Amino acid sequence: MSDERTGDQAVATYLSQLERAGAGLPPDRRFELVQQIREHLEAVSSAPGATEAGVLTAIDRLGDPTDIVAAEEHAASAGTTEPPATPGAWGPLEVVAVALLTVGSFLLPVVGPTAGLVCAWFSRRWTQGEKTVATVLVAPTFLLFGLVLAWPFLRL
Amino acid sequence: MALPALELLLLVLPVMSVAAGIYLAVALSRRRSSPTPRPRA
Repeated sequence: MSDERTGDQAVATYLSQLERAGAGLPPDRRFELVQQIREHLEAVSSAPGATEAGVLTAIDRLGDPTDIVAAEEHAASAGTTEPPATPGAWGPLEVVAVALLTVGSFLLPVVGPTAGLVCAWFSRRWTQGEKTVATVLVAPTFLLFGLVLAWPFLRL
Repeated sequence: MALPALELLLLVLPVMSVAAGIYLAVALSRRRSSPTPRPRA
């Protein structure tokens, strides 16, 4: 229990140091950076069998917050930030796309998956390859669907 | 012939669609759980 509290305190301290160090970054980038590190540390601390030592090691591996911010600023100035296709966080469009492809395919047959694929293609968070794989998974069924619907007319 | 095929496709379509949705969700989650390596000083 006290281990957990000490680990949580260390995470909170580290994140506040990171926020202060990142004061010079654009607000959205700073938020994204802190969020990314927070998720990483939460994953470490909530893992089965996680210990305070493990959390502290994870923090140590991340390094000094000022170094993280410096690396971020360097990457931004060198134009080597992550490409827009892979920011790696869920946005509303991604949630809607996955919901339409999964739940939507039962609630709105044909329309749901179609809208889901359209949303996925509009999203910049999936790569072209991932969108293509998703489309290839669904598209053949659509084609067969159209063929079956057209079958009576084709036989005339 | 067309009707059983249509019913079959109505079963297959959600399965393939769910597979696509899960694939996209996993792809996004994997990126999210592996933060960009941060260089140490």
